[in-house]
Amino acid sequence: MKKILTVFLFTLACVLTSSFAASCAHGGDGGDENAASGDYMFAVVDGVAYKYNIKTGFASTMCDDPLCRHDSGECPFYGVGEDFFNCGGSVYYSVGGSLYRCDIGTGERHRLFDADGIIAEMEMADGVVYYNAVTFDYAPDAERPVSVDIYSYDIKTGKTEKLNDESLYDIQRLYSSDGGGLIWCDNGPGNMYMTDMHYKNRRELDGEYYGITAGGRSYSLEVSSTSPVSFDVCAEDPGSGEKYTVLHDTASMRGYRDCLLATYNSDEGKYIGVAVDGDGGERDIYEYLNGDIYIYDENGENGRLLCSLPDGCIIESLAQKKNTMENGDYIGVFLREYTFDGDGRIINISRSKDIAIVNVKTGEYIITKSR
Amino acid sequence: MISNEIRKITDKMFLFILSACLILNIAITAYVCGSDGYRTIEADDDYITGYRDDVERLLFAAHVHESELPTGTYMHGYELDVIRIYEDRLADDIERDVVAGWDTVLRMRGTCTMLSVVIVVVAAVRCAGIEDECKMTLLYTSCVRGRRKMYACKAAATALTSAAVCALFFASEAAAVAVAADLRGAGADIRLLPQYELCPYALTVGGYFAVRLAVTVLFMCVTGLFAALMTRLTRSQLAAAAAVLFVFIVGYALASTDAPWNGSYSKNLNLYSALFTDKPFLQYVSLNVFGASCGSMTITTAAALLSCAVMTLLLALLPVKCAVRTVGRERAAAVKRVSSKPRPVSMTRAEIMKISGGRFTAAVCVMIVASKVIFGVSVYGEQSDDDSAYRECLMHYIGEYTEEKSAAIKARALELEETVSRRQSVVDMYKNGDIDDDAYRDFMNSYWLAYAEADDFARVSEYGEYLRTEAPDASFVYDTGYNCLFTDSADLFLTAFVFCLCGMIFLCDRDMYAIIRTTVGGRMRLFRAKITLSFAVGFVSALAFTALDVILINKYFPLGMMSAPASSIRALGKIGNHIGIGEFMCVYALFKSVVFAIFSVCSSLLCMRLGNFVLAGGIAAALIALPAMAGPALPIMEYVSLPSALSVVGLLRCSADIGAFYGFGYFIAYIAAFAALTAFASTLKYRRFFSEKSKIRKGRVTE
Repeated sequence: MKKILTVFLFTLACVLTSSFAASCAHGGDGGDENAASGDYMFAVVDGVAYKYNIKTGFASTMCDDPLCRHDSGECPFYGVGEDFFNCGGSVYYSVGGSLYRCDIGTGERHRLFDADGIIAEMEMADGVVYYNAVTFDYAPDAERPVSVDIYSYDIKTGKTEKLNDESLYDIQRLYSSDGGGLIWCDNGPGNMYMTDMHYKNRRELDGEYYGITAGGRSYSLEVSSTSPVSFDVCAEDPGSGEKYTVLHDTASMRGYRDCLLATYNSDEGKYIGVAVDGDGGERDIYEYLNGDIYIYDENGENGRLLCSLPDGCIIESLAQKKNTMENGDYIGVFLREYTFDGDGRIINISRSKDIAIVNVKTGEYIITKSR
Repeated sequence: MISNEIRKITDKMFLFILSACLILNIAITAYVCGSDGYRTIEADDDYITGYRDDVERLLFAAHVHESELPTGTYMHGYELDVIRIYEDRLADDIERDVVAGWDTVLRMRGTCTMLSVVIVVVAAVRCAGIEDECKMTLLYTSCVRGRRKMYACKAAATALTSAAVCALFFASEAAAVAVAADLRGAGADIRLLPQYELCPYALTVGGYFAVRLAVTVLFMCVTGLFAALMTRLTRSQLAAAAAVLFVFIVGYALASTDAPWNGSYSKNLNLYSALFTDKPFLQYVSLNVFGASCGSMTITTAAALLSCAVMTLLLALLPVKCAVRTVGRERAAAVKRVSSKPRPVSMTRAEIMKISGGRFTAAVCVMIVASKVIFGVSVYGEQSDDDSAYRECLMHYIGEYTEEKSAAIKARALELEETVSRRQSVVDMYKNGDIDDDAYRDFMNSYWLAYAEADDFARVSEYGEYLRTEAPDASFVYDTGYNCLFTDSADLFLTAFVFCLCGMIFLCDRDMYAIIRTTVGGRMRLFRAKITLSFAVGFVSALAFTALDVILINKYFPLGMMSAPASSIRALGKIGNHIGIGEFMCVYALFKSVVFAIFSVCSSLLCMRLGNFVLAGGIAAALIALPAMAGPALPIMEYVSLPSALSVVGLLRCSADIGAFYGFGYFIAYIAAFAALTAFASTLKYRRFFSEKSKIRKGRVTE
């Protein structure tokens, strides 16, 4: 009897300590567990990581704490780099010298590895994360103040591999994988080159590479106007190899699947307000970008207006090559916002944390709501 | 019968522990009020704007979650509750007001609750076990309806005592803050206190305090009843206390675990969270059990009441069989003890065994040591954080003092002062367009760095000035740790420890005096053994506490450069011109041990003379407290009082101040006087013994 009572009492203590835990296994302060993991886009704006729900249009921070100001090390996403990748229901990102994986469904975060140095220019290609590990030597007589090494991290196997034999002097920016190879840009001299997937067999490339592709074709840009800035989109004729202009005077563009999306500057700029120059003088600010998005096929033909965003929405750029800003038929478009002081003068022009989510098939769009 | 049970609980030992814990609680509260722990919160427009911003963020997050969740689910209802509650709270504006002291009272509740739990557990285990000690269980349980009535009364007495103790501690804490500082704003909105800004209930500060008190009282009753039950079941007070500790540890682990299986109920509705944290009261969601929406405070209160009822019922229905078996076991153990061969033990060893075997003494001593460690860790930990900037500044100059370092310190101080003072002029220049953005940004960066460094560098400058003017042969040493170690005030924990330990030496077997006195040479041997033991206990305790101090302080403030002259520590002033810090530390430990050894003998004699530990404790406390209070009016108290005697550094400094006997003379003279007084008192006592013996011989006195 005594033993039974003892057991009963401990059970009661457990009831006090963990009662109803089973009935509330789905409890907690969050609430994402039922949301479909494929409903989001992700971006980093002004150092804060956001997730955008393409169905509800809410723009919320990836940090779960609603009271967090995201401006100190207590925030798990503080210091997050702009290199965000979506792969297999998880988002991969770097903070300082560490790579993290965040499960979209549950919001759980895992540190995958610590790099030897600061992670820079991280890029994903074919399920492998490539990154530059940058180390600094502050000694006055240092032989090499900055050393750069390129590493790959295979998400499937979890293995890290150093790709270069000798340390490099500058950061190498990976543009994309193309035909079983990797296209890089050396940030020092700015030349383009191609290697195999293990950073071997380097060969130099002529000209520049823009990373704009649609329907298997690559495109380049040529400046057509400097005020306001606009570009011609060019491509090589597959038959003759000659370069020809596909789209004229675009303000920004991007390829998506087998389509080209473009925006144009308006003929007459829209007056925004007055800004104060560094020397104290005032000047009027006009905005030539607008909210119209056009869609073309890969040859720049059969163009039509995909959608017109409402007044006040200024498309900053379509040129977003991170895969976290696209999801099925939807693409995310960054918007521009102006900040005014109390006297109504413009004090800042920046990327808005709200984006436009556009369906490239139907042209339906939603402007996200944030706080 | 209930009042009888309460009377049994509230014996001298209980009252002593209660008084000690109350004094400790009040002392800690007063200390916190005196340091940075006290603050007056003025809710201005900025605070109210920040509050609104926080609530709007919360509401936005709730709207996001609500939009993503399937309707009709638990979590969907949860988010709807958040929206409902906080939209109401947002609509209810905060009015500007001032709250003073309540922040401290509510933040300090951890210490207060911890001490209350200790008292409640002591009361409960004693109440539940006291019949066994008196062998009354058999009698009670054989009476008609005696068994259940006894247990029900015990449960009621335990619950009442727990409630009273809890209320007493809460009240004492609030009173301590009111006396030591100020307590205002009981009628202000609870949201004015930053830690309660998201309180989901419309309460005033005083109202929240009352609710918190009521719920804590209930859970304290649960704790007491649980301890009593475990005592009845395990027949061991120690095991019952361990069971309570176990439940708290489990609660703590659950409260601080973020595992997915650990839901909001298990996190918040456990003894630890309910007593020590505010989480159940600050949940911005209601814990909607059975689909019905009700506040977490209601759930918590209902859980406490239910637990109380169940435990009382269990206690009342406890079978008596286990008691009968226990009595049988004890009888067998007694027979075994009697039949075994006695082992000769020396008188000193017997005294040591008596002290170490006393549960009361052991419990109190463990409590004092634990309090010292907790106090040290919390105070030093806090100080260490505050001191990091000073440490950073000082590290550049650490080592031997030189004119170059002195010049560098002056230059740096001037530089900081100039940077701070230039702020307005640079701002004006920027406004006028005389400097560009980059220059302004660079200056502001340097300004904020200088601003943050200025106060701490001022301490470094003062240190440099001290070395330059008063101790040119000394060195720059990171002195915060040494200042903590060599304080002017007496170590009250050590004083209480030694007093408790030695007070029992003469009291624990007073009834045996009459027998031992009549033996040949027994009286003198007994007396000598007790005095020797008192001295040894005081000496060893002081050494151990000094070692503990060094370990604790070194953990937070590294004690380095022990070979540097002791005069490098400003607190030591003129004391250590010719010895190193390490050597001084040894001398300090030795002197402290001698002082406390003598104090220990005095304490023993005082207890023997009065025959009452509580009375002796009161006199000792008065001897320590009164000079401290009279100090400002009577400066001589600094030189002749008991606290001065117990504070070795204070006494050494007095000794150096008056230049007596090359520094240590006054101190040695003081110890000699102290020792002489002790010896005289001892002789007196011995003579009294002797005269009593004569009286017995003459047959004029009978025991």
